[in-house]
Amino acid sequence: MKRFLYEGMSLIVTLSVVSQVSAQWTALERGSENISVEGHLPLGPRLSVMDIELEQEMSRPYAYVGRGTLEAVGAKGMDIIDLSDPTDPRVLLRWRIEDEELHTGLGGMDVKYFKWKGRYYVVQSTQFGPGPDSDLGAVIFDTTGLPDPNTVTEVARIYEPDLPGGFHNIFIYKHSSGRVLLLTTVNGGQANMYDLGMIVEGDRENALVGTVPVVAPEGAGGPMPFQFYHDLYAAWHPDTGQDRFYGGGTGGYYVFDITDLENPSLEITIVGVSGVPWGHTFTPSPDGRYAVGEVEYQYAPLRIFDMKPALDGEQTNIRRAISAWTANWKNLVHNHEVRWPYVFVSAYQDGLQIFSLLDPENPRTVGYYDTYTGPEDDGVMGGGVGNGAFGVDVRNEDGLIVISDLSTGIWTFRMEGFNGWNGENWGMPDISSVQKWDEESKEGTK
Amino acid sequence: MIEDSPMKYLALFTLALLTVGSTANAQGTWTPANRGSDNITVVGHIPLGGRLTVTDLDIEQELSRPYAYVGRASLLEDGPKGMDIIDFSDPSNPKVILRWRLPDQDLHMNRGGMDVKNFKWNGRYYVVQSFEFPQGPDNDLGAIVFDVTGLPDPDAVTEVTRILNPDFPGGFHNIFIYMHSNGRPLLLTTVRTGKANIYDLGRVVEGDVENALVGEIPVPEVGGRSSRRTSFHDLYAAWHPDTGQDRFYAGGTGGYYIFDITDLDNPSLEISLTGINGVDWGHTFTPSPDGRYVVAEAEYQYAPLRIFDLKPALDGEVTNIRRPISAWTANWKNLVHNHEVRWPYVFVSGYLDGLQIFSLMDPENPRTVGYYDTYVGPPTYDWIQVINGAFGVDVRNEDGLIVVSDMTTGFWTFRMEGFNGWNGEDWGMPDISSVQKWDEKSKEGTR
Repeated sequence: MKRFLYEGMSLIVTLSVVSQVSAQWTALERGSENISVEGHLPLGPRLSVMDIELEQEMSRPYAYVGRGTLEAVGAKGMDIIDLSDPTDPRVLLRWRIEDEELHTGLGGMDVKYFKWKGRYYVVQSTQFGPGPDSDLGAVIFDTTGLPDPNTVTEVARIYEPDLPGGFHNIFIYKHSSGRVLLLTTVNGGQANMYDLGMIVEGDRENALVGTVPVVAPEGAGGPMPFQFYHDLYAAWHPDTGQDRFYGGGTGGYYVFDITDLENPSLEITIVGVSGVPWGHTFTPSPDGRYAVGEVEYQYAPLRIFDMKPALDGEQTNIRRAISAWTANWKNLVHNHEVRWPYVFVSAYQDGLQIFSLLDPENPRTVGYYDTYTGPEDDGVMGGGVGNGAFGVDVRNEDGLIVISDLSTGIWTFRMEGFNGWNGENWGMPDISSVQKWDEESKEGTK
Repeated sequence: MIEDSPMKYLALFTLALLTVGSTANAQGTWTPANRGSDNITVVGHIPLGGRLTVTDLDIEQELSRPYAYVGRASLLEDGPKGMDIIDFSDPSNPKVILRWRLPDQDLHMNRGGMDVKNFKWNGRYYVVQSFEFPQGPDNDLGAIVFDVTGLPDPDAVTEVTRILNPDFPGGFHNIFIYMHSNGRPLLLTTVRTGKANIYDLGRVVEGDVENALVGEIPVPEVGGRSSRRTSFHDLYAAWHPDTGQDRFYAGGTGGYYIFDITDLDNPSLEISLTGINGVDWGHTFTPSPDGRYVVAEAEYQYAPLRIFDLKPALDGEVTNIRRPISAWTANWKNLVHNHEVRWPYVFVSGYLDGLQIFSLMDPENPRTVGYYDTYVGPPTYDWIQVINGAFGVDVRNEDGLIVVSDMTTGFWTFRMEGFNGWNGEDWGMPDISSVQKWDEKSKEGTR
């Protein structure tokens, strides 16, 4: 109760302190007063830093950063950062794909870690064009021995020769069966599900344990006449006792029941939404009622959907957002991590942005720090808006916030009044992107 | 005859600076207690009826004919189906002089009078009121043409003819009237299928409705959309001085399109704007007087007006444009609707945000230069939330009077400080806008 009151008061303080945070940030006034920069470390040339993942145990203060290239110059691999002193992040290892110059395409994109039988692993997704490794989707490393970089060993590579082009996004989910699953986008109309336990134990051949189809309505897809997922997420859904898959892709957003991996069942669609021909990142609230949906084009806000009518069985498709949020409507915001009621956003040119969904119909900006003060037309996508903060993550134990910026590197932050996150302190299930590796399977309790 | 002199241009430039400068803070938020920017004056206002019953409007351009035509429809329920004619000879005191209604109102389904435009032919004045009925009586009715020469006497208004479209029932959602370079006044209409119709209004009012359909413009095929019904949503036409073409501008399935319609029998697609992120379906689409820039709407919440530079296509480097050079919106959480371009100003009927005016003097950085919120009611929770408020907008070029039709609050007249009329040549542009020069001879002899 005490903690609940404390959290509530913290929120009130946070909201009141930042009642003016919608003000425009400038190169001189880059952040709101409630955000403090802990540390910063540039990692290399512009447009070469991709997604980021943070280990959650305080005793393992490591961040993994995908390294790719959206320009001619750039690395293709992964950096491992030691955050034991968040004010002084240091690169422990710069892993690069062999024969870097021979590899075309993007390089290292998304990155996620997991724990299996007491050992720690990281999965670095890759996307290469024609040439070597165009069929390579991800590389798995054993990182148990960190901080000693010499102990990091490559365990396996995952190839997808039937659908070359690599894995743009990945997510690792601790399934209710107790299996650790790697969900991946592929260059085709499905998502793949791999059993990571099988992979690290050497049974790569049988590790592809399921696929989730894209089920876009006819004619959907806007200017892209082919179907695929762009991003994915999975979470336990307490109300139904289901493992649920959340994917954004051609036509919009999709929610599947993946409790039975061999028979994914479509539960909810969010298609036919005006301005959403193609869904990008899609993340539910801890209880699975609300979802934050991104579309990847200039001027698009994050849309907030209430899935209650679908959860109640009144309808199977949702077409209208209940609200929306953006940092600056002229730009575009990118990935996000939901720690209800907060949503932490890597907002490209607008840097780190945090908004509150305490009132889901009226999202409010509660903090920001602009990690990118470079030219506004010097990025990818129309309008050059694709530069700046690319990835974001949050350590639940103590509330450390990290950002990977395409051009300025890795940043660590604290937000006043946010000293950690546990869903139950907010009256929600304790569910986020953070997995509970040491929890037993839910099978016995269902 | 326009007199050119350095002093005149200096004066105009100063005026523009004053207008922009005096409204440097115009982008503030309007509230019910503080509805307008300091440079906007409400001249007059008259409510017209129930909520969501007022649609588009058009005003005559001659100062001696101070009449506005307002479409009336039933978008949800209990609305009239017809047209109101408003006398604003005293703009501070607009008066309804005729409420024309279709007979058997109750038998007609929802919708009714939508777009409305006026024209002049052989010395007489006419107005075309478009209609839309999905089913039931008059579902094949596209428009009714009235002779309004005898205004302000309402009894002198007579129905001349009706334009029916039985092959494609559902009516005309939008219309535009264009004085073609061949000297003919053309009615361009959307229809409920993949084309726009072109009617010769001279023939229509002279009794030859049967042969008045003089052309059709197809909606181009869009990759991956062949199985979907295609349509234009809005249309516009203008003379394009650089090419000596009559050009048709339309938004519809897949984006926006520009056709050469000089030869009405053979419309030729010149430029397309498709594959634009966030634009699955184009709505209103209006060029700058010289045809280089275009303002493009997409009709969904959160969509800004996008500004495109057509130069690469006009120069022959590309035939399709995918990326806007900028965008503008009043409030990104809402949606803005129709617009009238009087370069560098764009007058917008901004739905929930009322009248909005922005400047394209720097096309890459549009700036709000004035506003007045005509609607301070709630969003439309029982329909599409962001659709209510200012629906239509028009500008009288002669004196700069601005009018707005608000779906719920009725008819409004405004003045903007420093804007006392518009002629494109005063801005270094051709004198081309939605306003037609009915008494101008055809351009055929001069080409």
